[in-house]
Amino acid sequence: MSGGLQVIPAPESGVLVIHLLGRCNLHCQHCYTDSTPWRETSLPIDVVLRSLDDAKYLGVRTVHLTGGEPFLYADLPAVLSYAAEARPFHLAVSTNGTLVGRAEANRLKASHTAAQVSIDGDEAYHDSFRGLAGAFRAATKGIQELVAAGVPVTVVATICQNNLASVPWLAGWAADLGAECLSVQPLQHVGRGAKIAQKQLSQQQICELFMQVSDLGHAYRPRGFRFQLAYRSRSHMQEHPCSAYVCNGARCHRGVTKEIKTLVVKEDGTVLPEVATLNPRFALGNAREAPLHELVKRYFASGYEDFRGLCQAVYSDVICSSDSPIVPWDEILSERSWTYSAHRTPAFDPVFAIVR
Amino acid sequence: MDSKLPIHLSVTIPQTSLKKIVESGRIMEFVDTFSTLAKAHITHQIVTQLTSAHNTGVSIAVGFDDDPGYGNGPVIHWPWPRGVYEDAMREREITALANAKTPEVIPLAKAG
Repeated sequence: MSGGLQVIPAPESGVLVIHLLGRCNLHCQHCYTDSTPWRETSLPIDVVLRSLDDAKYLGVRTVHLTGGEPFLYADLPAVLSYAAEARPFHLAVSTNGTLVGRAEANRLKASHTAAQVSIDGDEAYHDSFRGLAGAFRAATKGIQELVAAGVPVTVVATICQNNLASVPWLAGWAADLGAECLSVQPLQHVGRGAKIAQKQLSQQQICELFMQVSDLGHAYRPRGFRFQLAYRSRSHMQEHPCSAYVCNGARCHRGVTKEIKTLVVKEDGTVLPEVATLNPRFALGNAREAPLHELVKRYFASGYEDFRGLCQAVYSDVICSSDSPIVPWDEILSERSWTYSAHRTPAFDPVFAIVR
Repeated sequence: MDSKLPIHLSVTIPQTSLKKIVESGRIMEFVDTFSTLAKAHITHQIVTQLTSAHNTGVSIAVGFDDDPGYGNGPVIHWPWPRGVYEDAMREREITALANAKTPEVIPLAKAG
């Protein structure tokens, strides 16, 4: 399907996120993609398979299949088989876990696919937050099937004011079930999460969450259970502007001219750089209309500089002027993309300041 | 030699303010408020130290989003893997051209 494109192994590690469909059997309070049981949009299978072919050509090494709920995508088995067959991807599926039975778990195992399952607290809280009675029990059963099949499981928890105290319980619960990692994601001001923004954690609470998770990480280390915080270190971003945009600064060790770390294909085919909730004005194009490699090539020729300008402006505003040690970079980038004006000059560019 | 990580907390209270607080019967409220502010201040400094790119070897047990390592805190010159980038695409195109079947040589006369 790649039309004779030659694949050359390279030390790249790009990420491709494919939103297979917009439909989900749950109606979660915070869903960043605004998925519902009533949404019909989904990617045609040929677009998905072509994107996987292109991903290989583009140097992508990690593919995340998400939605909506990927297990509602009728062609998921075909996508998994295709992606796993002689393609050098780390594959992962993000799911609510409620539709995972033995067959689904075995299918993930056979395709060397890891699973990220969303769980936000105990049964009462989870069912209420996820909008479906029985969701917790079904997801628990799903995780048990995945673990029994030998699929690596990460439990992903969205943390807000209402369940901040339940992180230690979540860690114990996930570790006892046989999961490998707890990924803690503070509630973000994106999608439906914007409607419950008052439940977001304060900066102080995020710092305390970081300390708590690190303490838990040390306690659970002997069991091989890991923790992840879906934020970024401001200090590290200050040291490496290239984690936000292609800086080409004096100390930049990446040595690239134009780069997209994550390609996001949404269920309507829109291809975005880095963040799924970005203003579509920064889109590369539509994967239904042209193959990914073509869209990337065109973007690098025209359009990319506008996106780089956004990243650089947000970096200058937020990373250089804020004093928060932990930064929700994707959330901020997404928010600012809707109000960004390309004609505005960044207040301060640390890289050019160093060069000059 | 073991290096020192500075955590600063320094407060001065004007004597007249303290007098007002104490004499209005709000010592407990003042201490509670002050403790909260002090906790926030110390938390901020500790977390800044622990998440610093210049982290002096203290091992946090949590990975960050986009952090290629795990559990050791961000590393100052970590050789981050590259994403989809232009130079690599160009290299691939050149290689693909080089590996393509050599086109037939068209005689000059025919080429006109």
